[in-house]
Amino acid sequence: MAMWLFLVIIVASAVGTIYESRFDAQIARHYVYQAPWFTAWLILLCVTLACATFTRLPWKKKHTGFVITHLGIIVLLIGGMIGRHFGIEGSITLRVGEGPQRHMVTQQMALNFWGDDGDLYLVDFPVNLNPPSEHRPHRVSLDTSSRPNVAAVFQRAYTNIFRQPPREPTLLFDRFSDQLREEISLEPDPGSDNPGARFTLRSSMMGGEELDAILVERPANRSFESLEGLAQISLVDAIRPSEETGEDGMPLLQVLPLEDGRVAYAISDSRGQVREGELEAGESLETGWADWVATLEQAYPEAEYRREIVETNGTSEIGGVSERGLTGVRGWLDLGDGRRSERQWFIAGDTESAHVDGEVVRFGFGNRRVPLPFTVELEAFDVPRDPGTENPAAFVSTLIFRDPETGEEIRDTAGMNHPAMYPQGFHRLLTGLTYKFSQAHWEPDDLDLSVVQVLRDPGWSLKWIGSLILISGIFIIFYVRPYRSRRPEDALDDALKNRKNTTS
Amino acid sequence: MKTSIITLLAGAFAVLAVHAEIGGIPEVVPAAPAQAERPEHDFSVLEDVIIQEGGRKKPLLTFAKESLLTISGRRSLTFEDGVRLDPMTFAASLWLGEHNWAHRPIISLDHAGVKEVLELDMEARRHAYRDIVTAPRFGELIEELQARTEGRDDPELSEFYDKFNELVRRLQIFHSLEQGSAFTVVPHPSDPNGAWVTFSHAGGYYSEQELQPLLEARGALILAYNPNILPEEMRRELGGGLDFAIAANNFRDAQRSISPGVMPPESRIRAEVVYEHGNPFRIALVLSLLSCLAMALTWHAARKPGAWLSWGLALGAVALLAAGMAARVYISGRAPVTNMYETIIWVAFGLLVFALIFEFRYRCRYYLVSATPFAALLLLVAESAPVMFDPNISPLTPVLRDNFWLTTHVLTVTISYAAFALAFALGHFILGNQIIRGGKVAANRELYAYIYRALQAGVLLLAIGVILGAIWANYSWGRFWDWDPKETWSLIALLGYLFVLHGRLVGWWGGFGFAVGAVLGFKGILMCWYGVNYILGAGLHSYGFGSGGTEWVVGFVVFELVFVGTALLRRYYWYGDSGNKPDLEEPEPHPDSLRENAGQPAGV
Repeated sequence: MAMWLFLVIIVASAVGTIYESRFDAQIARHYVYQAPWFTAWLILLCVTLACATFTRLPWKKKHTGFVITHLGIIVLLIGGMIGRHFGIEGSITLRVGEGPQRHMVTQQMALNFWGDDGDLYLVDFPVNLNPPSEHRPHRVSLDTSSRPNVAAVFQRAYTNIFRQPPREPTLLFDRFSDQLREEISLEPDPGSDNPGARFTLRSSMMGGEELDAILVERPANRSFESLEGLAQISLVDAIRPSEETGEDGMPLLQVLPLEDGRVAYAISDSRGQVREGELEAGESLETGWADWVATLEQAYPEAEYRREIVETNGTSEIGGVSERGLTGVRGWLDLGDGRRSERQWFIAGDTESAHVDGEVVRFGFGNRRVPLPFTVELEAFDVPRDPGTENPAAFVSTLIFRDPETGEEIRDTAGMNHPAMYPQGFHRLLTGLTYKFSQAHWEPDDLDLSVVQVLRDPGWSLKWIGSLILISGIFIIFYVRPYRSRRPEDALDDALKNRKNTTS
Repeated sequence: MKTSIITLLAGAFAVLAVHAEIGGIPEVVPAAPAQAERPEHDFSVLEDVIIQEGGRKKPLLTFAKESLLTISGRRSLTFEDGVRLDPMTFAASLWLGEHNWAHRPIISLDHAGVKEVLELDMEARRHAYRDIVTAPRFGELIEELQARTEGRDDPELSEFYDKFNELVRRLQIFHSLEQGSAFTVVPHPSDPNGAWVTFSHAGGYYSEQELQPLLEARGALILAYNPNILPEEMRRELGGGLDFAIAANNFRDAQRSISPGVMPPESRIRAEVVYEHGNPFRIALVLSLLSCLAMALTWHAARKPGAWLSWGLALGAVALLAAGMAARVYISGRAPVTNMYETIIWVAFGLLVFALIFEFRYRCRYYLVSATPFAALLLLVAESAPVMFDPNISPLTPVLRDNFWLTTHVLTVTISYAAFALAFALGHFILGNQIIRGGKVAANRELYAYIYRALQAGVLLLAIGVILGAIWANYSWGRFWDWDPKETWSLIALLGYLFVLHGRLVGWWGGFGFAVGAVLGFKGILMCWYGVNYILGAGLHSYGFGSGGTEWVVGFVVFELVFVGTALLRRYYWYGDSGNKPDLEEPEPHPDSLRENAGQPAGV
C-alpha cells in the first residue's frame, strides 16, 4: 500500500514540475500540490506510515530506527499541514517616506458585495487560481440570510454541480483575464445633447509619444483634459477669447464642436497670446505648448462616450511602452427568476455594479488584504552593487515595526537570506509564532520601492523537529546496528570482523 | 642615462597614447599581419597585472582567458595559416599593440539561421568581427532585436534572436577589447568597491602628478611591446632598457603602488595565476583514468602492486581536485558549488573520496575500479564544454551570498549525488556482467552490499541536504517547502531511492533489482541536477540556469535505459547457451532469511 502511495506522489510531483515550467508556479500549485486530492494523498500516506509503525507493536529494540524515522515523517507532514491551514502568506509594497502600512496583500482573491441589508459581505473568489469557463462559470450567491437553511445549501450545491440556472440572486463569471485593456471611443448619438471631440496629441520632444484626449460634456460638469499638468483642453458652449488661461493658470485650448464635424477653437500659449480658428477632422494644430501638435480625430455636437473593455493577447504597447494589462472577470447578474443582466467585464480594484430591471448589485474584488496587528514602515532601501558594475550585490530594507497597543517600536532589516521578524524573541523564532519579512521584489528604476514577503507559519517548529527526528531515524536505521533490523549487508561486516579477528 | 631617455620617451608616448585613446585610434590594418599580431614576448610577468571586470578584481591572465573563451568558445585558437592565438597574446596585442583580429575568424557563431541571414560561411564555426558587422542585414537585425528587448526585464526571445543576442554580446566584448575600453586597470583611488577605469578616464580619479608613474610605466610597456616603432639606432642604444619583462614588472609595481588600499591581497592574485596555469582538473582526469587502468589490468594478476598503484593515482587525483577547489574557494571566497561546472567537479571529487573510503574499509577493488572511470567522465564533461559549463569565477547572485546554511545545504546535496554516482557506477558492474553472461547469474552478494552501502550514504546525505535547504528556505524566503522544481525533483530523486530500498524490504526485488534501481535512480538525480536548470529552467534555483547539451544528456539516458533493458532481457528471456539456467540460481536473499548466513565469511 505504502509503496503505491509512494509511486503516485513521485509521479504527481514530476507532473507538477512540468506544469510549472510550461505554465506557472501558481497554476501548478493549484492543480497539483495544493489540490485537495494531493492533500488527501499526503494524509493517507501519513495514516499508512502510522499504521506501518503501530502494527509493529510491541516495539522491540530493533524497531527503534524504523519507528523514529516514520514518526519524524508524520510530525513533519503534520507541521506542513498546520502551516498551510493556519499560516498566512502575503506581500506588502513599501515605499520610503510613505508612512506605516497596516495591511498585507495575499495571493487569494476575494469579492465583496453590498447585500440587501446594506452590509458588506466578503467571499473567497479564487478565479485567478481556478479560472472559470463558459462551460463552468464561477458563481457567487448573493443570498445573505444570516442562517442559510440546509435545503438552500443543498439546492445551491445541486444547481452548481448540474449547472442549473440559479434559483436565487447570483453573480456568475465565465472568464478571468489579466490581459485587459480599456478602450475608449466616441460615437455620434443624435439627440444626446452632449457634444464630444477627440484629439490626438503628439510631441517629438517627448519621444513621439501619443496622447489621446477625449472630451465629452456630461450634464453635471464641464469636461476637460489636462495635458500632464502642462495645459488644458476644454469643451465649451461658446468660444470666449478673453478667457486666456485654464485652471491654475495653465494655457488653454477651448473647443466647440460644430454641426459638420468641425470644431471652432481658441488657444492660448504660455505667453498668453490667443489664436482663434476652425479645424476639420484630420487637421492638425500647432499648439505652441512646447512642440505638441494636436490633431482633431472626431467631433460631434451630439455624441456618446463609450468605455469598452477588451481582452488583448500578450502585453499591449502604448506609445512604445509596454503596459501590464488590467485584471478582471467577465460575468453577469442572474436574479434567479429568469431575469439576467448583460454579460460584461468587471475590473479588479474598482467598485463595479450589475443591473437588471432596476435591481442593482454593487461589488468589488481583488487580492485579499489582511490586516496586521502592527504597522510596518520602510525607513530605507539599499542596493549595494558589485564593484565596478550595476549588478546588485544585496538588497537591504530597513523596516520599522510599531505596535499600536503597547507603543513598542522596533527597527529591523530584511536582507537577502536575513529576514526581519516581528514580534521578536527567541521563542518566537523557534515556534514560528511571528511574522517574517523577507525581500521579495525591487524595481531597478525606483529605488525607494521595496516589496517584502510576509509569512506567519505556526507549523514551523513541528517541521524542524520532525526533520531532526527523521534524520536521526535514518541514521540509526543505516548505521546503529543494535537499533535496527538485520540486513543481508551485515554479513559483509561480520565477515570483515571475522577476518580481522583471525589475522590478529 | 639610458633610464632617463626611456622615461622621457615613455612619458611622451604615454601622453600621445592617452590622446589617441580619447580621440579614438584610427583604424590601422597592417598589410602583413602575422608578425604585427604577435611580437614574441614572455607575458608571464604581465599575467598578474590586476584588472577589474565583471564585478571582480582578477589577474590579466584570467581576464584574457575568460574573454577569449567567451568570444570564441575556445581556450586558444589556431588559424588556417598556422597562426596560433593564446589568451595572453590576444589580450596583450589588443591592449598594447596593433593587431587585425577583427579580420580573423574569432567570434563564435554556430547557429545556421543567423549565419544564413548574415550571409556568412555556413561551414565555419567562427567568423571575423568585420564580416559580421558589415553583413548587409546586420543593422536591420540589431534594430529588430532592440525593438524586441526594449522596456522588458526578461524578454522572451525566439531561438533565432536568442542566438543573435548572444552573438551581439560577444561582438560587444570584442569591440570593447578592440577599443581598449575593456582594460580597466587604473584602480579607484580610495574605495575597495569603487569602479576601476581605463587610462582615458584616469584623469577623473588622479591628478596628473599622481598618475605620472603609472603613465610612464605604461608608455615603457608599450615601447617594450613594440620596439619596432623606434628608429633602429635608438633601439640599439636602449638595448636592455626595452626588455619586456622589466617593463611589465615596472607597470605591475606602479599599478600596485598608486592605490594600495584597494588592491586585493597579492597572494590571492598569485594563487589565481597559478590556478589558471595549473589545469589541476585535467591532470586529475588523467590520473583517475590511469588509476582505473592500473586496477583493471591487474584484476587477475599482480593484484597487490596494481592495487597500490591504483590507490596512489586515485589519491593523487583527489589531492589535485582538492587543491583546485581550494584555489577557487580562496580566489572567490565562497564554496565551490555555485554553478554547474563547480558542482560537476565537486561530485567527481566526492565520488573518488567515497570510493576510497569504502575501498579502505572493504578492500574489494570494485569501488575504485568503477568510480575512477566515472569520475574521469564527469571531469571530461566539465572540461570539454566550457560554453555550457562556465569555468569562470564570477560574483554570486545576492541570494547565494553570505550564508553558512545555504553553503552547507548545497554541499550536502551535491555530495549525495556523488554517493549515488558511486552506486550507479557499481550497478553497471552487475548489469554488465549480466549482459555478458546471460541467464540468472548467481548473485554476487558482496557487490549488492557494496551498492547498498553507497546508496545508504546517498540517501542520508540527500535527506539531510534537502531538509537543510528547506530549513534555510523557511528562514530566508519564509517558507519551508514550496514545490519549487528543484525542491520537488530532489524529493522525487530521494523518494525514488527510498522506493528502491523499501522495495527490497517488502520483497518486491532482491539484489539484482537493487542494481537496476541504483542505475535507474540516478536518472532522478540527473533530472534534479541538470534537468531542472537546463531543461525545465523554472523556479527559484534560477542562478544556475543554462542551456545546451540536452541532446547529449537525453542520449545518455536512452543509452542507460537500453543498457538496463538489455540486462533485464538477458536475465529473464535470452539466456543464451551460457548454461546459467534460471533454476540453478539460489534464491534471492530476504532480509530476515539471512540470519543463518550471518556467521559465514562472505569471502572476497
